[in-house]
Amino acid sequence: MSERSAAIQHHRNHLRLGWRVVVILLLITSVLAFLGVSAVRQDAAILLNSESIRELVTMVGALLVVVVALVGVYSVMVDFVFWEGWMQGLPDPRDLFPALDPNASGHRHYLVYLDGIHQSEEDHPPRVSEFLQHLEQAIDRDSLLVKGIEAYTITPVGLKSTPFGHWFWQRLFSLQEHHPNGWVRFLCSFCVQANNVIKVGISSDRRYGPVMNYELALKIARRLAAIGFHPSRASRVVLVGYSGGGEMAIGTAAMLQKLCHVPVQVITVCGVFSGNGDLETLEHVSMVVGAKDPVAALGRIAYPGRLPLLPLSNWNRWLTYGRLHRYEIASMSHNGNSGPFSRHYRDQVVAAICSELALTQAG
Amino acid sequence: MVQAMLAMDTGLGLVIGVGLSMSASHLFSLLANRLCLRQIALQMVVDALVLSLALSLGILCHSLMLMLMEHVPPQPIMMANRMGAALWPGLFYVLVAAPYISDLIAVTLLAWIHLNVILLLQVHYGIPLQEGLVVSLPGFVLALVLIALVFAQRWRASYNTLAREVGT
Repeated sequence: MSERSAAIQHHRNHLRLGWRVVVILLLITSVLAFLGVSAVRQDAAILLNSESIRELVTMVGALLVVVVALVGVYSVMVDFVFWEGWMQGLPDPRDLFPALDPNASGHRHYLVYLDGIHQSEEDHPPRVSEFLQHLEQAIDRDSLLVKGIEAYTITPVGLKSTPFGHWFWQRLFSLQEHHPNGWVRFLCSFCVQANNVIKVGISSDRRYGPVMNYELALKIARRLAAIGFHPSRASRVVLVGYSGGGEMAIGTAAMLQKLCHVPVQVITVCGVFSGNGDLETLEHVSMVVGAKDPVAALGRIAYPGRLPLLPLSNWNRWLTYGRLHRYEIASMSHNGNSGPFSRHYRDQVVAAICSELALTQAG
Repeated sequence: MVQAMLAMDTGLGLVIGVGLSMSASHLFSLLANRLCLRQIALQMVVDALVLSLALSLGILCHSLMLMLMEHVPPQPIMMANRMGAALWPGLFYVLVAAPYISDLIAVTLLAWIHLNVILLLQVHYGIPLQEGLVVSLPGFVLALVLIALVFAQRWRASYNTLAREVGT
């Protein structure tokens, strides 16, 4: 009993000490803040001039352009470092599908799902996982749905295990999931999405896109090989890309076709894509779009290659001879409760994908 | 802005700096060509010199246009020293390496340089802005074409490397 009361007393003392430290720190901070405000009051008044504000805005704008550019350059650097072989290199495409294993998967159609920019890990969010379960049940027995491919990393491992930045990403994901402050969680989530948006930008960039898309195509091909895909038995690969995954799918398709030696087709779901991708060798591209999808609509402006104003863009040239099938779903938005993975719309999206699969299989 | 450019007095030295910045902006094309570090460094220096030459040829073209249209005696070296300051935004051309927003940055910087040239023509030779636009246009287009050719050649080589990789 006395031991217990001693422990409680010790805990109380500990708490009291903590409170005292907090109060003293608050007092010191208040005094410093008061002194600081008095000292900089005149400077603060000058800062509120319209000219100073204009100068500040210009400086911040310039800084933002430089920071965005530098982050983009850093992101490109990782792709090229991998290309150079400094991160254990790229596999030889000749060794991708060595020999036909008689016990391997006997599927003929492979659907590869590429998630949107919210993806941070190989596992999909619960709502997307439920949608993929529905899709898996709806496709025929001859088809296999390949899930869990990280579309925004080029190495076979996820962001959490990247050689140079794993400590950063692990910390970021931990904060994103477990931090009690909502703003911190939001900021971390924003950083992950910004990284993925930059990857979409790299994929659509006509200079860097080919190298990055090749690396991603190799990653997908390796995954397919690991689950029993063989060019002599498979008849097609279908890339299903949601949102930014649509750009990754279109950017990768032509390369994947060369690596896998089977036709590759693309189905975008609420896709945001540039139209810069090499579509020349693709026969089928289809779009499942929501009638009330503001993000996809914004994508058309952000990526002028899909506007009729630029008839020589890869997308517009493909449209002159390619077969684009468009499935519009009334009232569907980009995400959330009215998005393609919501209970309300997921069956319609799955039905549209299955119709496209049946249509192109017959064709 | 014009006063600042007049005070710069950097002349041809800036042309080399801009050439280096432009060369650095397409460093990744050299990486995509799978060159070794020494080859990359050498190519970057050579590209910087070629790009500086392209910019100098643009200035020479301005000098010829001045002679033809405004009957100003051709003094290319003096003119290069006077007009070189107009190229200062080009020092930031390295930012064009950024993906996707590169076109926006490149167009802004090149338009800025052209505007600077027109302003300096007005200050040094008293040429009105509209006439300055006509005088400076051929040199500007010539420099742009030469720069685009250098860049396109490097990227084409990198695509060929990629095609070889996929073709194997």
